[in-house]
Amino acid sequence: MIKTDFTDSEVERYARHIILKDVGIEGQLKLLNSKVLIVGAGGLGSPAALYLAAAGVGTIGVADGDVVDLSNLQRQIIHSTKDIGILKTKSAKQKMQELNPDIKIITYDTYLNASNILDIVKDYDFVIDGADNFATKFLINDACVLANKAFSHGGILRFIAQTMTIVPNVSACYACVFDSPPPVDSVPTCSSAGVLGSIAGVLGSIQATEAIKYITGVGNLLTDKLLIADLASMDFDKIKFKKNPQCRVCGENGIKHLSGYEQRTCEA
Amino acid sequence: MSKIIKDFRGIKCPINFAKTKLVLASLEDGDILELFIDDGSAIKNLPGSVEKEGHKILSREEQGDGSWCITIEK
Repeated sequence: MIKTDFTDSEVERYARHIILKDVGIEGQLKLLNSKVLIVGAGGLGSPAALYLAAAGVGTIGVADGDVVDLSNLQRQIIHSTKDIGILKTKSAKQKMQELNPDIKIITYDTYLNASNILDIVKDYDFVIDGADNFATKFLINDACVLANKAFSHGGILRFIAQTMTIVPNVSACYACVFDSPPPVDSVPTCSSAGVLGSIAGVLGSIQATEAIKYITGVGNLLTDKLLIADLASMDFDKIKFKKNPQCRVCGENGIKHLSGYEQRTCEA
Repeated sequence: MSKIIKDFRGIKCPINFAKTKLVLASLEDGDILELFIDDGSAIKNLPGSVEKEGHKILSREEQGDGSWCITIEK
């Protein structure tokens, strides 16, 4: 059912959006009628899920096959100590629903792969990549290109965060910039190199902001640009990219169907 | 052209402005909204915010009880 009006409690809950020029009544109604999928209820997915729930995104999907571990809690702030051992999707849904009981949360208690991702992604307007491994990041890119869904890529390591927004067929995709996953063990992972927990909050919040901007049409998206933030030096740099006409995924002879990538997990 | 009256006394900032925006959105250009609001931050902030949205404040009258009635033209 498409919402065209607000209840009294919605006016109060979303007052600061409603009074905000450029978001306003129309923007808040767009948010209430929108659907965002969050892949990974971890470091990036936690703040993204909380801010999107708070913003009143009407339907939020959360996909993760993992359970909460004590070592996650340093950065995965949607989960609490009492949640250790339960599914991350269940823990996340509970917090999001407590924050905003008016929205719908759909959980997928599974890791996404080449055979299930398209069927899930097709129901959403925007996807947030909060995955902890390159295989899933490239898979999200490929699925979003095929399904023509905009998404926010995000990655964190040590003190560094990087993100870009992809609008398929319009802007450069993840493979235009990185082509394919790096060789196994050529790149350190969060579990081998560590990550400052709070940078997950910075980046996940930026990703949520991109989702909100895409839905409401506010501002300029991080398309054709890779934002690299070094939180140790507080240097924020944007590197410009162009869509590659020969891109393996979105180019003229790009992919027509999905195939998986070699999986290598990292506790992001 | 029509005129409607709303009483947003007792509703704190910025909820009163959010409600005012919603009422104004439902009106036609040229319609008049007579709005009762509180003294203090409401009368200090709300008329300016309404003007920034492109509407006209035709009058502001202090009521005997300390509240205000502002007349807005969309």
